[in-house]
Amino acid sequence: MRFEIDFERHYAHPPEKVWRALTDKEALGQWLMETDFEPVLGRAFKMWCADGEEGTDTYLCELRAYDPPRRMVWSWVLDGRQAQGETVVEYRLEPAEGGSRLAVTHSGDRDRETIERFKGGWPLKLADLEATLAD
Amino acid sequence: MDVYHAIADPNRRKLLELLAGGERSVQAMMPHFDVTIGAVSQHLQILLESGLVAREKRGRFRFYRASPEALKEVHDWTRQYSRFWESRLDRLGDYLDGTP
Repeated sequence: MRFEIDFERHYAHPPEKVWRALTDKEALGQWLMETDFEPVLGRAFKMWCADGEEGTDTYLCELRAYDPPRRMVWSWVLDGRQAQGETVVEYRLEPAEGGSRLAVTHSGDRDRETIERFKGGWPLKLADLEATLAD
Repeated sequence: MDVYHAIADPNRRKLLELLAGGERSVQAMMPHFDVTIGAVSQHLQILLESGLVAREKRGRFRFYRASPEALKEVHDWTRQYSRFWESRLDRLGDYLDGTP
């Protein structure tokens, strides 16, 4: 089963500057997570939280696509959860009125075994789910 | 099959709500729909492929039931990552504003 969430933001800064913030490890450490990222296609890197805000989880990543200053794709999986399948983060950047538009898509697959396991009841209201998806 | 596509259709959401009340055959659900049995079967097929519904054959009938785990998982996943990215992309904006 596939999961996908999309985000889009406008930033009042040129694409080149936003791209630097997405691909420089010091900058990534300021807004995303601590990382040993290097802009080398196919290179593995890690992301972790220094402040413990999300616990001490480490994410194992790999640079899958690198097309400056337009598009970048990372694989992304929580260390210890590799069996659940990796997720993919895609950044798409383009010039926009007064700055840039950044679109981020986070998608993934989960193995069907967990999904097929039936448990009685219906723990969620569809309306809640729709509200979440509409966000 | 994409779970978002599966729940995008009102007839499929109605099927999910009916199945939430317990397992049912297509025939038993037909009175709730204005469309043909072929159309309902097609909607059920999409729900089956998304993992939201499971099917079992007993005697002459096929029984459908909801697999709420699939929905719960997508909900948890979405909520967790939505919060994460919303806060991080806000922070990226702050970072950009504060950087020459």
